[in-house]
Amino acid sequence: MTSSTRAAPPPTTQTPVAWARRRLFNSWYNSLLTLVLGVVAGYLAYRTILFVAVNGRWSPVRVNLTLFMTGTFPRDEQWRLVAQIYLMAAAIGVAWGAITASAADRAADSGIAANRASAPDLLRRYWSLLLLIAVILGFTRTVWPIVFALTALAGGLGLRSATHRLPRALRQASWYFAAALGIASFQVLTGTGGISWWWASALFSLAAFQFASAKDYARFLGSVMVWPVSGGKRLVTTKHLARFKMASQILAVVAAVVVGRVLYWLIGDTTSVGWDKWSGFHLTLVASFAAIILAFPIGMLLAMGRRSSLPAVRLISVSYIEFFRGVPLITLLFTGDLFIGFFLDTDTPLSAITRAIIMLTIFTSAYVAEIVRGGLQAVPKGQIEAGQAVGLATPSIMRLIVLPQALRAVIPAMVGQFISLFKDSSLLSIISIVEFLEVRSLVHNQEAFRGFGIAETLAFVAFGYWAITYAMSKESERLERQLGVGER
Amino acid sequence: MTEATNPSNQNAANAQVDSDATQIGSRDVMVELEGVDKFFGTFCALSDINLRVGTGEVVVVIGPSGSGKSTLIRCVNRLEHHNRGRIVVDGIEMTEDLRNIAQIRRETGMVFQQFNLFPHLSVIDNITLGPRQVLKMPKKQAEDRAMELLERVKIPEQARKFPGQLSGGQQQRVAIARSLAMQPKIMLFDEPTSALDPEMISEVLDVILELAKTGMTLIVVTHEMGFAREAADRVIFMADGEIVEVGEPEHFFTNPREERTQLFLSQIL
Ligand SMILES: Nc1ncnc2c1ncn2[C@@H]1O[C@H](COP(=O)(O)OP(=O)(O)OP(=O)(O)O)[C@@H](O)[C@H]1O
Ligand SMILES: [Mg+2]
Repeated sequence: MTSSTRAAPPPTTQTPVAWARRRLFNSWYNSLLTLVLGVVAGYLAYRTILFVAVNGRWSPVRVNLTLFMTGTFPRDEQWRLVAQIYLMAAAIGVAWGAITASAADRAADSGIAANRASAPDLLRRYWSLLLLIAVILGFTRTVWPIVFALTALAGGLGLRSATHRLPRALRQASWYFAAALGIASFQVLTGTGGISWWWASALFSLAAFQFASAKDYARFLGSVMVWPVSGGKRLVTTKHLARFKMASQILAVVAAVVVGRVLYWLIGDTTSVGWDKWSGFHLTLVASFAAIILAFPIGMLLAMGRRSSLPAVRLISVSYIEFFRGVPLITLLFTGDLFIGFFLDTDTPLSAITRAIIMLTIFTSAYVAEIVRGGLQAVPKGQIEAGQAVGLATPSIMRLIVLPQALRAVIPAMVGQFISLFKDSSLLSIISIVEFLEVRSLVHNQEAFRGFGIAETLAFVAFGYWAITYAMSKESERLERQLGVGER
Repeated sequence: MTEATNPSNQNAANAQVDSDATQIGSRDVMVELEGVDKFFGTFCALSDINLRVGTGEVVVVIGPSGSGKSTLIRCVNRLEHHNRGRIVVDGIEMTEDLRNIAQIRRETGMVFQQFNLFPHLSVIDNITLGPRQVLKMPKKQAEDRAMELLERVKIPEQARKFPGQLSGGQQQRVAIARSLAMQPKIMLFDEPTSALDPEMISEVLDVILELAKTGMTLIVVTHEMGFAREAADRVIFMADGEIVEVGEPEHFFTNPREERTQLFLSQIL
């Protein structure tokens, strides 16, 4: 490898004046355009600020903040929501730490310097979410939501960096742990109304077992406990490890089961709050993200089914996709009742929200299937042949060669579909589910707010939708860049 | 030469071709094709192919574009399925059975004109994918072997890069390493240098020459006549889906028998 002796050009630095001259005023017509647009933008900004800070009457939002956030969720069960937020923050923190740590591992393996996201980076990615949290906290009337939000944030970030620092052997355990926390965060809300406690318990035990089986466990534990005393020296030797391992495996599983059972006993199903009581922003988020998470794998299977060599599989996939893409979502929501009853004979009718999530999932998965199919078709035939030539079986070729490339190619389209699903969840109001947007009509029917303008509540709700979708599209941009879409 | 001396019940010209097509001296048979036909729809891409390749033999296949060279070697590892006749690879007869096909693919490695590296995997992962997934080799061992192979194709320093970051010649050498990682008994090359810039051709051919010296069985489709002369034990000339002439390189290039062969050679030499 010969390297050129010529130095790379130095990074150009520009004074703001020079920049403005080059970019804004480089000819008379561009200067004029800049001035005109500047005036228009300034005027719009002025009117917006006037509305937000001076003229807007925000009391409908301020007074009804809880209603907007959680709708008709029973007031004396609200602690469950707080618990959910904490658990969720912990789950996200652990998962995030595991993600950054495995990225760092991969980078280290490849001998490339890991590019860790700096604070400004994170701000650029998540500023809309932070702004949303700030706005919501700005409307609160007690100090508690602020305390909860800040401690949850701090806890999540703390767990993130702790997970990031875990030894590599514990990576898998962190994933289980994150999943268990995620499930638990819903368990707190639903009791047995949703997923069984055993799931969370089993995952916790798995995590604990993995944790305890890891070779570095004892060493890690030892170093954590004696770190301050020893000044970072390893005090636990290999000799102790084997004995440690067995004991800690057993202990870990027992502890996980016991903790799971105790939690169940404490906050179990006796006073749970089922799906059907959820509403507001909380419901909008849960329903659309549940549908996203379910629609993705279903859509992927359908896309592969459509390309299958088995005629029956192909026929079913094609009919499903073409039918559900040909029917408006509103129709599906209206007929969800009939439709599900047609295929499932349940004695107890499903709650409106369960039905809605099912219909959203069905609808979106048909679109996801077509998006994924586009990606599958973009993978050259030579890739499959190369896989066959090295002796891989068809499912492995799909999983290891075709799908990774196909999915990379369709990230933007996929996220676009999810964004539209998120916004379409506002249609749930037509089957009398009080989602985020629908809370407004409750508010405007209140005696106290007769005669109030609707602009403020609309603006607030629109801002809520925007903040989330903006963060989603930022994430998609980042994923695209990270996976190098369009670079080959 | 045993068959050539005994052209009992065939006419003389046919016997000449057949004996050449199947002559492999005293070697064991590694690949055997018997009366193989291949159709694309109604178009006949291979017609009545008879060929035996001995263990450790290097066979070079030449012929004009569209003559069926790629189709021929793609039938050997079942990237195309033949419509008639018999194909036996290392004693395993090709059937419709998936296990059977998998077994044959394990015996054969293939290198493509367009490299077909997996763009989403690093070089080392490209090479270790097969051994880890198919041979269930532990990661460490697979990577050690991959590094040895990369040494052999002279690009160990590229192990952690991605295919898109390599030159064409380097990519093709990675592709060769990827095939070798499965420890095949036969390597099939389909115009391995046709997509390369002239200055990269020799670096790939050198690697293939090295392979030939190790005694591996090779079937190489190529337009590089210099390579054919140097490496081949036998040269096969194909046209219109048929094997027209078979011979040792010396005879082949100096004194071709068939008119079509003469015409083809005069065009490209
Ligand atoms: N998948 C296919 N469908 C239909 N016809 C095909 C297909 N693949 C190959 N053919 C035809 O079969 C014939 C032989 O093709 P093949 O690729 O084997 O030729 P080749 O000798 O390798 O040519 P080249 O030197 O251009 O690579 C050609 O006429 C081609 O058009
Ligand atoms: Mg060809």
